[in-house]
Amino acid sequence: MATEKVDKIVSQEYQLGFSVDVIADTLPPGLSESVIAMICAKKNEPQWMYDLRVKAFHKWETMKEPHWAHIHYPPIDYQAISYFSAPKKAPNSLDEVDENILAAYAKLGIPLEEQKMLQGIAVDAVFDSVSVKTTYSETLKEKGIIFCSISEAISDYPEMIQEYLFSVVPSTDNYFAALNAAVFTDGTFVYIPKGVRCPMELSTYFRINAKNTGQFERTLIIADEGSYVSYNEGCSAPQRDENQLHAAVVELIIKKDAQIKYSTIQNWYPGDENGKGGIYNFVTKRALCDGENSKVSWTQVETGSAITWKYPSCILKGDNSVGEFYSVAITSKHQQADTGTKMIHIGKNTRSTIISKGISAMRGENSYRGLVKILPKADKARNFSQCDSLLIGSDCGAHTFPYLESQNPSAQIEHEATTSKINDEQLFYLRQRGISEENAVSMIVHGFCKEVFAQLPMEFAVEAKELLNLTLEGSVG
Amino acid sequence: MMQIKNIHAKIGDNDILKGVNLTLEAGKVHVIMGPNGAGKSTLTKAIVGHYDVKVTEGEVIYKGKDILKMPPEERALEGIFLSFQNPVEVAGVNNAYFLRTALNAKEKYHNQKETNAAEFLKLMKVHVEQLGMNTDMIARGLNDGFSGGEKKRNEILQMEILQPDVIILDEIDSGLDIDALKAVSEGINRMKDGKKTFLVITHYRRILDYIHPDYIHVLQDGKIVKTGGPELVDILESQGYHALQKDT
Amino acid sequence: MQPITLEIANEEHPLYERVKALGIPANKTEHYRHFAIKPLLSKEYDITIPTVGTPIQGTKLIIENGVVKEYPNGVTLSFIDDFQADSTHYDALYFMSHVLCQNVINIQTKNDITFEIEHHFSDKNRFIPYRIAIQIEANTQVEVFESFHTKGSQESLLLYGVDVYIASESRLNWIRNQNRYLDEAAIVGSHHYHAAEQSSLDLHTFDLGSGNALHIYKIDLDSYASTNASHLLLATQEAHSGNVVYINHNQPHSKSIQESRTILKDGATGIFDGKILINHDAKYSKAKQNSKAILLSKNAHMYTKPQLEIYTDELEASHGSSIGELDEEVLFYICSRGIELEEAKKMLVLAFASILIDTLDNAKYEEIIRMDFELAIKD
Repeated sequence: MATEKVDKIVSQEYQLGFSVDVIADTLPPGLSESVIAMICAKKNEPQWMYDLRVKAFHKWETMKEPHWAHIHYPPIDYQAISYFSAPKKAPNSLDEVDENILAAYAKLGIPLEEQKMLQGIAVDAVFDSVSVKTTYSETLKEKGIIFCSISEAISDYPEMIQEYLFSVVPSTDNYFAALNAAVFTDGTFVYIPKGVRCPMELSTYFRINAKNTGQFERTLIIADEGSYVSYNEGCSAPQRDENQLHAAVVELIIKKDAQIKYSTIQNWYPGDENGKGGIYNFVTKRALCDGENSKVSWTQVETGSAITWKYPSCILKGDNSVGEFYSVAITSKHQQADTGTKMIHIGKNTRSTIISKGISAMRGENSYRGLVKILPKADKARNFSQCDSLLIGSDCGAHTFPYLESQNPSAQIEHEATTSKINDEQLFYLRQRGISEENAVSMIVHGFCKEVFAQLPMEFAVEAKELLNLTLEGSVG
Repeated sequence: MMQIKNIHAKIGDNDILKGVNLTLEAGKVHVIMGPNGAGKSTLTKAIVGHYDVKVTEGEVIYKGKDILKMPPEERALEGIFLSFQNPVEVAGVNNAYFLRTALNAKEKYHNQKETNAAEFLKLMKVHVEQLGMNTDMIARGLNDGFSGGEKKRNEILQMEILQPDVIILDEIDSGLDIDALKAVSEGINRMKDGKKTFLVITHYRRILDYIHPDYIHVLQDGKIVKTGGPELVDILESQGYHALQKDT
Repeated sequence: MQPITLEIANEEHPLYERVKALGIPANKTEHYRHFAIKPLLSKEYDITIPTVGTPIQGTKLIIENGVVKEYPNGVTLSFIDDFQADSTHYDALYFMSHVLCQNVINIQTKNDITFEIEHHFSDKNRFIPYRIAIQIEANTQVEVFESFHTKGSQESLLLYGVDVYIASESRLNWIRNQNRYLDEAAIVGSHHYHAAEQSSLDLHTFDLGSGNALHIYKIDLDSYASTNASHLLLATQEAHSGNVVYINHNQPHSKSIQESRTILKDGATGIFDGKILINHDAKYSKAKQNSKAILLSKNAHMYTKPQLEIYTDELEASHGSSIGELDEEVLFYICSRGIELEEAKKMLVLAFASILIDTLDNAKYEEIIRMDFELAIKD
């Protein structure tokens, strides 16, 4: 097939690449104890939070940036990054929100006004590092659900924060997690009380805006016994020339009989055709299935970023707990993705499923890296993994690095992986029926990802298809 | 309808077609027969622009244009349809979605109103039932896990919905039991409207008893060596291709 | 008596820098993880660098404590002090063994030949490094059966390796049978096989018993070269045993098939680390890898790492992997016909292993290995 054409299809100009002028209240670049003190002061944080941050900072200073992943990038100057930036105004209602910001959301297809009317989606929109607006809090409050920014949670629910923050991802877990712990300025906190089924999808849209601003989000979700929540996280960034660092941390705690479904669409600026610019996305996401019969599902569609380093993990501690990981990662141009999951089976009868679909085009490099670990007490634990790679063009790379470790004879691990290119026969068949080459490629790619898209909430699934440059408009069958 | 003029074509380094001349008339059923390796499938692939076949000489004139310069999808949109000998399986791409996309592409190309999802589903159901297919195939992946007979019926279904003008059937009858053969033949006969042209590749006379050909062409060693009426089938059957070769 | 450190290596050796750059393996060194290499290297050994000796002509290649005693008729034997090792190897001990061994045992074949390699090793607390190079003439067929005889070598470490070059259009069938006990020397083998154009390598390894052993391979495939590798591992008692196999498809139309089967008893640890790399130039290559492991005990540990690293789009590659126990339903079925559970288990384990034993195309070696397997499983 004509490779130029395919290249064009997979590298269509970044649709969400615009930037908005907002006067940012930004700290000068650099990281030190005094910067942390200023962050705490700006956020009115208590002393204990400052102490935790400083502890993480000192640990971070002794750590080395990890380089085991299959990714390459020039050294990051951590002292050239500004660790705090907030819009000048902190509005109370939509009317007070900066017009430019509202316009930016409109371009992203998430106008706040309309969001309210959408089928029960509450939006905690994050612009740079501070929550701009939280909607639907009222409705949620009636059910006892807490859905607020992490800053609010630190001041309003200090006991819960002190108990759970850093409990799944310790502040010293890894280099990027330590950096995040030292400087995170915002993010989301969710608490679902016992027996409550959250009546709506909770969504957060992240955006990176101010120049040279790293974004360090921290998300903490606690699903108490017997509760359920579906949480959607979507990202997009304006076009920039300089690389921007993002080191987010997500912690999920799932109690007995509870379930969290966590879906992500990541569409940050991937850099241009020469590999210039683009977001560096180093994320630590981890879920603790603490109680019996608890369940977590991670679903991710990774289409953006120059570099993605991300392994949403499940610690299956409670007996009969279930972990799932569904992922689509597409890399084109000069994008690099090293992503996958860790399934740590501790409890009896724990089960995990991994479905990973990697698509590499142009000079993209896509790696699946996963660990399945069965500990001695995880009797009858089960894992199934399926990792497929699709290659489009001869200059890209697709790699699979699974680590399978079992210390229990009654456990069963199964792993399968395939690597193939777009099938010429299939492409020709579709074209013989009058479907253009672009649409034919889209169709095949979408077909390849179907199992994962099926896991996404409806609104997200639609967005995901668009992000893969597909023209699918809802299936007929 | 279509003039195939002096086509020479290669697959890899092998010369397969060595000067094929053939005129397909509107409203007629043309049959190409010939021994294995004669170049029958290569000819169909050359007409639809398959990537395996390299046409080195000659032209195919259709609607006043040489179609050999067109990409495959444009030939399809102009009304040329190939029923593949071995239809490929495309997991994950829904049958109905695929076929509606193809239909809409054709409608758009001809500046017609695009059939919407609801209308399409209705249309599809009618044809699926007519062909004696299981309706659950609508929601399945394209040819995914289909038996040989189901695949061939699915080709006929696509033909009936896309309503092409030149219909090339490459061994549509191979591997079909008698019921499937009947269903497929009925589908073909429904398409006969006095304007559409059929080019049927086959090894057997079975299907010819159902679809009543107008012309029989014998392709041997990359050339049409004989053209005649339906009576030619009997000669071929009793004497074989070998006798024919001596004859010419 | 001293441990194995960089200090015992000759700094002047051209490969010394490679050892230094890769570093002496430690517990966290990726392909030595779970093998417990550190305690092995930090033991105190009597370090012996083998001498050239006075080999006689016979039927086998017999190496006693690193010294060649006998070499087969029909091959040319020489000792090379400046052997051109594979400078792109990934393993530090590959280079370390080259640096330490002063004379590489070099075998050049001329015609079709079948011969055996016997490693004899009988001393306690001894460390012996040596290397064998084998050059296979173009257009020939060679079969090698390699075995180990290490009684009485407790607390010792044998560091060896082979460098094999298979010239174009030749075929090498290599069978390694290693059946050893806990009180025998630990073995680390670090190998390089290079299959030239149109050649093929059949590599069938059998690592059985309670001894510690790790074999590290790098297999390079040129155009139209193919390899068919199988690894049967049966580890018992406290054994740490495993295979690390990196197969590099360097040129177009190369093909690899790999099957690993592991059975772990008692407190044994099994390792399978397989990486298939398909380079940008290796278009139209095919690679297939499969690994299966059965854990027979609560204390057994299996570590599997089947990796694919692919840099071109014209290819077919797949791998499958599973770790589990014997199929309960099948066990029940067999027992319901009046067979005892232990016997039923043995039957299934043997069936699992037989798939790799019965396909050697050599009745004599199949028989030897089957007997060794049955001995080892009883151990």
